[in-house]
Amino acid sequence: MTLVTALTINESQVRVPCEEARAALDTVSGLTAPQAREKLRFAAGHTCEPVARIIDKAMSDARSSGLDPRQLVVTAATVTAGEDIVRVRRKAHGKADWIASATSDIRFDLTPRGLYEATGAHVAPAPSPTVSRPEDDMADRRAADRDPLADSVRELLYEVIDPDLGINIVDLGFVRNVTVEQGRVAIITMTLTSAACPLTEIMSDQMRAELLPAEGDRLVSDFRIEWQWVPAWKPSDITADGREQLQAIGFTI
Amino acid sequence: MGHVIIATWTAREGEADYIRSILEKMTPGNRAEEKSVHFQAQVSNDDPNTFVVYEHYTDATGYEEHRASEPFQTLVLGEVIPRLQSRSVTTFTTVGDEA
Repeated sequence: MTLVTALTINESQVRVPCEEARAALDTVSGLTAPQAREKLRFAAGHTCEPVARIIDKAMSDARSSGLDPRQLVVTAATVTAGEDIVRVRRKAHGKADWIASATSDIRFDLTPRGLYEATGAHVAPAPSPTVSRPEDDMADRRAADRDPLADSVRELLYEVIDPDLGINIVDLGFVRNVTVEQGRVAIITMTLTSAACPLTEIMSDQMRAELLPAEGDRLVSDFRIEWQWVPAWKPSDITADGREQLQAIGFTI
Repeated sequence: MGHVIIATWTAREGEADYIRSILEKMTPGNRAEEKSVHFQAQVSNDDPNTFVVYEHYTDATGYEEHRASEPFQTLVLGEVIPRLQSRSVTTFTTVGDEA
């Protein structure tokens, strides 16, 4: 006997307001996963990219489990308000303030079409298989490997502002890696929008001012920048906070 | 197919002379490496702390062998890199026939 069941997708703290996510899922309930994704991404009026991305990932996971996403129907969606993501907007244009982004905890099932049609979608979702996310495992591993001193250096780099855009270099995605070597020398792997960027010197000076202040405690004894031009920087390297800041100053991104 | 490395080094304040001396010291040995086609270090006319090192090997294994060599390990990794404020290494492949 083949056990036919639904896949349950759970995503916490998705950066979308609860009402918006709920409205979006209402419009796609009963559609197949690809139809739902298309509608959320391209339909006039009710696009919702954050939810479209979750469906994207769920489809990819379903495929890797040997399931055909075209045969999976979005059902049993529930959306509750998630905890706000609160971050400091670092000195964007000279002032620091707090950004609170509303989030949603989103749960829905992808039910095999036959089962959905036979039961009207009243399918009890199995506790497993819950769609697993290899990238989350990677993130956990990365977190476990992280050096707290390197993290503190990275925190300081939020104070280094790109002179053109007025946004910090971490949120712009310029800081690719931070390690701290023997002798407490920070090695910062960085990129910029272009290898010919004339601002490298200014940024390097700002980094020195933050990492090696003339007065007060220094986290590290020195630092070195390893410029990395391949792969080239791309707009998707900008963090969500960076996007918010760019949008706040009029960029469409 | 030629394999070219262009490394740009920016020396920490006060270290440029030492880096220059290391480059002078290692150049003959680098040129004598079996797969080395050309090796040349240069210093910027505008900024004495900025060096460019041009390395051309017959193929990528030449660069790997160079990196594994004792002078690279001791002089570049051990002496030069800790004295750099920043460093950029870019790799290129020859277009068309070799000169």
